[in-house]
Amino acid sequence: MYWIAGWSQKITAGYYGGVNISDIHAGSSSGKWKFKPGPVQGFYLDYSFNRIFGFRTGINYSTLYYEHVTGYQNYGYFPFSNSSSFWPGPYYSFNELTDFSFISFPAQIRLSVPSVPRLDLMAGIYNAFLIDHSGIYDNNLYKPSKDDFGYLYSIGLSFPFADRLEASVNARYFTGRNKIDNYDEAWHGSMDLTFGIAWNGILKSKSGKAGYQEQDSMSEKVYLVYSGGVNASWNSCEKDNERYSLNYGPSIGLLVNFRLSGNTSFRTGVSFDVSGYSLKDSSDSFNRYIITDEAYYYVNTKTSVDYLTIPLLISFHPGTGGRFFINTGPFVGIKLNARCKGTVYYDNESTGSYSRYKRIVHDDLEGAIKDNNFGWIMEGGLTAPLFRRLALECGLQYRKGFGEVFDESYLPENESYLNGGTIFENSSLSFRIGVRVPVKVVK
Amino acid sequence: MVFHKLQSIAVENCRTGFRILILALSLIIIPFCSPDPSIELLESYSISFENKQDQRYNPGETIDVILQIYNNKEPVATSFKIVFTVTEGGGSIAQGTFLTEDAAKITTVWTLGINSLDHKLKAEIFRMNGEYVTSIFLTAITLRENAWDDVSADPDGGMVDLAADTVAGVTLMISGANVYRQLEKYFLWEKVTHPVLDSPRTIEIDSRGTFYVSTWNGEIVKSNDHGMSWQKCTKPYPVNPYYVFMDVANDDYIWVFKFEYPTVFSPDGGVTWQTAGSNLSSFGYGDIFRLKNGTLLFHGSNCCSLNRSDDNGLTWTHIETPGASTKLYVNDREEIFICNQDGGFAILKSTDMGATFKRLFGCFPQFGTSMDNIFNKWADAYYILVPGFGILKSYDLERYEIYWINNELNNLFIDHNGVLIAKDWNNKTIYYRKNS
Repeated sequence: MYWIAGWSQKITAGYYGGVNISDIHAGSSSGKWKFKPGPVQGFYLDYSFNRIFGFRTGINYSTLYYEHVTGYQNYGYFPFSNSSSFWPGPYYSFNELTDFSFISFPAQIRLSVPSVPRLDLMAGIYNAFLIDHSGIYDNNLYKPSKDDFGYLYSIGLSFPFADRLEASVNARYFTGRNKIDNYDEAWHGSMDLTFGIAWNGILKSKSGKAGYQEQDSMSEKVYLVYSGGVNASWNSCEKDNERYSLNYGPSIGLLVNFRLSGNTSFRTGVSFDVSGYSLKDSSDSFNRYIITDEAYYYVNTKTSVDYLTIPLLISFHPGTGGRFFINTGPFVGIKLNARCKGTVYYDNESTGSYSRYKRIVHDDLEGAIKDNNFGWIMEGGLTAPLFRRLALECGLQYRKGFGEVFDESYLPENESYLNGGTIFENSSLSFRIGVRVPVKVVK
Repeated sequence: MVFHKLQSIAVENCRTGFRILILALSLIIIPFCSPDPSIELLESYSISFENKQDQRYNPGETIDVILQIYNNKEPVATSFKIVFTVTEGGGSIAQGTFLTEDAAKITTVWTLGINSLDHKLKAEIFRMNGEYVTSIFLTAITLRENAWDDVSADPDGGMVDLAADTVAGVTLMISGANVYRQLEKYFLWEKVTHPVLDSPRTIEIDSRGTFYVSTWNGEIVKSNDHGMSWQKCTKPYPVNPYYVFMDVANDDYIWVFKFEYPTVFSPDGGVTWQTAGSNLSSFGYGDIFRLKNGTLLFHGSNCCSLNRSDDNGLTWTHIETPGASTKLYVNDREEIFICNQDGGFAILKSTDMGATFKRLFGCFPQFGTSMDNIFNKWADAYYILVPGFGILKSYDLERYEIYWINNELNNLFIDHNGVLIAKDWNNKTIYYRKNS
């Protein structure tokens, strides 16, 4: 016998507040866009079509703080096309600060997994209106856009804690589609983490009560896997791949497992993965190996791309106990951010003078990376029971992305480059630990 | 009871969820924490020679070379290995390798080669582990004997006029609107400054050793003490603010020409001026020669303008010349030589005051231009410049030998030691030749 919390309400109203982390989507590849915190709060109304699907809207207030930092001006030689100055430098000069306060109206479709805590996956759109703005910049022609439109993705957990009340924690990802001003190739973006409280007594169930119902069974066919791990990624490109070494990053996400037969399941879900490579060599570029004559830099950098990964896996459980599993299937990676960071040393030598510099590099490479990456996943692992109702998964997962990761427009003389082989291809090996959480069936 | 059980499960699940969430957020956020972009200067050195670049020396001369290393960042001693190598000119270095501390001054001796115009010494700086740091060059020039050596550096590269006093051993030249005096070495020059020497343009010398300088503002300035002091002459055209053409004849008369002004001359060193007659200015500027019988001969810059005056310049009579004559020269035997453009360039001679002419030499120059210092005499030899062709040499002005073919030449000077100085058409280069 198992008790879960569930309500028969149709409409839920809630308030939330938290912090957003700005994440501008900029077309430049020079300098660092800092992740700046800002406030966020709002109200929402949630309408449930049934226990799984719903619709959520509301009003949201947030202030986004952007700061761009670059220390690259007036120092040394930057070969055209091969360094962070390849693309026109950012309009923002040196250290630039701006802030934007928006009132926005999101509209999302909700998909809920009726576990405890309840898992809510939502996607939708938003319209935002600028209500306040200030900035430190040196261009008088700068005019911020008065509104924004974009997409919104969120994931949340809800916990019942009192009659008709539930607490929730939500992580949301906003990506705007209107340029932030009349000058820049940049779009608003942010992630936020909010905590909320909701009241679900607005409309009562058919029985006239908004109370709890007893649940007494777990689903035989569906369970969730919350997993996290560390991945070692590398560049499996065709050109000079021996020059690159491993990069390490997190892999965190959740999977929904649908049992198809006794030994076979279908798995999908979403995960956050950081993939990339390290470069420790002489090069003319900070983020890839390229030398014309004598290299300008000695580079020790890590190039990383953040992906939201959606896998479509077939899971095999050989044997009768189901303790081993093998997963395989394709995946699509949706680029969130990309950066190159590390340390670069270079000399500036001319007749009769010699200087040596150390440069801390943090280049925003989001504009240099393709929006999507497709590939294949192979994974093997073990499961073990955990706390009677749960199970632990340990897996070793190999991923191989297909095709060039850099956007061709970023690669100078891209035709000749690509004819000579790919420059950046994703590969990774990750060690993953997951917890299987059963999904309950409401009777 | 059910409610309490629900609550306890919810709280437990809530704790577990939060732990997972915090762990997940930590793993995501930590990679984003990284230092901001910045640049740090780790080390900086400047290396320089105390010696000036492109100094001129005699072949085989020695130079005391001084190399200085500066630490621009901080006074932290760094050891270097310095290697000197002669890379051009064929000379030698007394000590080729030095091991030194930071901010050191290194001295060595460079002996220049004897067969090259250009000389180059390379100093390479290495770390003690052999890693190359930087290098620097010291360059020098030696001017050889019996060879033409070109110089394009200031001030002499831009030489526009020269006058030499062979008695007093003084040579002055004009370059870049300044007067320079030749020093002990013929390729070294010292600027002459004086308040009245304002924008000099041309320079001449008379038989008494008086230098005359015409300026860009129409003044005539002279020096009776070999260029030590200068004084203004009476201005030949008082209202003219622009340059004039000046010629000092072999009788020490000063002749001044100016388009649209009457030609004037001064018999007293620029104190007074008289106007020449017969509209002489219509022939342009040119050369005046006084014969022993007092007759004056003049040929202007305009074609076919040979004239004579038997009344000290008051009236002039035109003398017909063959071809398109452009230049006049009269030697010590009072033989008349003209240059014309027959076949390009020709030298003709008359011994009957221009009644007849005999062609002596002809050639085809690369270009035609104004005829400046064409006939130059040193010792018993004449050096005749043919602009656009080169230099001829003759001992009797009857027979000519080609001394140097250089199509780029357009003027020729001889200093007080007999060093030939030819000027290139580009106005940036001159050629020295010192004959032993």
